[in-house]
Amino acid sequence: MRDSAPPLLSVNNLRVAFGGVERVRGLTLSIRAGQTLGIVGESGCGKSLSWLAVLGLLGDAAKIRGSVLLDGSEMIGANRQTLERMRGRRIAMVFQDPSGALNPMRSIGWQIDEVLRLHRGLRGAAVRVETCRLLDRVGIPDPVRRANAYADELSGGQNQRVAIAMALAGRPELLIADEPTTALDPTIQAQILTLLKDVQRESGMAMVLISHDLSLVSEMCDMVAVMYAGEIVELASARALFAAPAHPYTRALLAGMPMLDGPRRPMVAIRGSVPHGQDMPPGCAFAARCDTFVAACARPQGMHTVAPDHVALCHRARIAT
Amino acid sequence: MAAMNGKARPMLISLALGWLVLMLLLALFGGWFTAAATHLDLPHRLQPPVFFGGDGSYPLGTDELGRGMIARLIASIRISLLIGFAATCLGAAIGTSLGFLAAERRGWIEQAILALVDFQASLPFLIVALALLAIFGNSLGLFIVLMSLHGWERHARVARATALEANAQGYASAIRHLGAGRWRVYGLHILPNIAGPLIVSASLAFPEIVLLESGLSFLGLGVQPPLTSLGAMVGFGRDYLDIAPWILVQPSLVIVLTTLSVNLIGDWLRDRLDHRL
Repeated sequence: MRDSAPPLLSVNNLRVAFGGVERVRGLTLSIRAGQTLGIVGESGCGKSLSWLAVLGLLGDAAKIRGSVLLDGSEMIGANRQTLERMRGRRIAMVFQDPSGALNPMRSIGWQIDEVLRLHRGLRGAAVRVETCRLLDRVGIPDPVRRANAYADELSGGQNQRVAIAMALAGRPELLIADEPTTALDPTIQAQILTLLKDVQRESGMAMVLISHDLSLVSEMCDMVAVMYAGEIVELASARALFAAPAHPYTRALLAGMPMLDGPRRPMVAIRGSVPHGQDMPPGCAFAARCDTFVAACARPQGMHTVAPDHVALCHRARIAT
Repeated sequence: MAAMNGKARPMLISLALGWLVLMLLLALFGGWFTAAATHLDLPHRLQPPVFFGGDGSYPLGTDELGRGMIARLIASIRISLLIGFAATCLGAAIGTSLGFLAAERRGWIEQAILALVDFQASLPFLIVALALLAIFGNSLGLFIVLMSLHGWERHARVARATALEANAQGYASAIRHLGAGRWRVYGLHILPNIAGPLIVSASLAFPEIVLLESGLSFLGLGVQPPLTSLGAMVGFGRDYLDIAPWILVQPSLVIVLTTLSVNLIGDWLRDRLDHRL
């Protein structure tokens, strides 16, 4: 499974702090071209924040350290022009709330036209032709007429399709989908995910799928990173993660997931809450909520290799499996 | 665009538009009358207009110095409209820019701008205007800048609130993530979204500025002779209210009709610009 080709994006020890409180505490991962990486974790664990930091979108209040290499060039601390040229063209983003992500006063065609002009250098009639092709690609019927519609005239699912078309307009190498289906109903969810998968297969772009939905991630992704309190606690191939979760937090998450098939069993909630800011323990952040707590958990933890392509931030990981 | 066809223009809007166009034409091409506006015809002072029983040699009558009311009115409309439009546009530009600046930079810059907004909103503007006029003296350019400071804080508030909302989790952040620079985000994305509130706010500011100018001129602190404005005419006409009411009534009527027209058109424009309405 290991690939000797250099990764498209490699994040090394990324740290994001607001007012002295670290919200992302040393994120390390890499993505190869064409790969799908899922990032799961509960609200506030820093899964969206990390990617905003990668794109340089957090403003002056955030203190960002670490390194993010895109094709070998450093993105942390890069100047504004460099980052603006890169956003949308090399890394694009799709959001949770599709209706909010579209400008209510501009037609959807206008908005896709704009990205095409920005990143593809298209001019004149060619712009609208490409816009209609993109709308057709994401499954908007009658694109020529629909290009003149406004976001409020389309359904939520169609708006998300338009947002995906906008993100695809710059032909990015990496698409970051931040809970792209959370605001949509289940039928539409499946359609949007199929669309994303198809588009990815055609274009060979890499994708980061941020979600708190474990089953969605297991279907869509090659690799899955589980985040807890600002760090990755387990990183593994989707199959390995669900077959043999090594970190107690991952196990607890899976235990809290209802199964459609198999025996009925009560869902298990994780007791306690996530430590924040100053209350962060020096050792394992999950220690206070962990059922398998031992004294050694109070010491700072390092990544343990459970299997090839499977690491967990738990000193008992090897014992547990 | 879908919003631009289909709806018929209401009669009232047509009338308001017609009046405003007439005022603008008078303001633009009224330069020929400014010489006549200062021409004294003392033997014919306080001639009543035709509808007050005048003989028609001066259709709208003459004032206390025998100057023709038509020429006076046109010269006044010219100045009042210049001040009204220039100050409204300048005020909208200042307010919107500061609002966007606050939303973009946050931190102490935002705090400073918000403090200015509160300061402006809590102080009676007339007092500020009087103080500044007393310190800096009076010229038309300075007067326009001063009038533009009236109402900028409303534009700033609207602009900041809209920009914050759009930046937080909306279309502005979305297009930023796709590589748009800040000029593009504010100019092409957020500005169209505040066009509606901005027009309403400006159409309220315009009559306020015209009235404020009238008030200051009435007090003798606004437009100085030989220049004249609608407010100055009302001010000078007050002394002759009982023997020659037309001196005061006619400019007052122009003020009322113009401000009403701007309000009506502003309201209508906002509806037209928003395709959802």
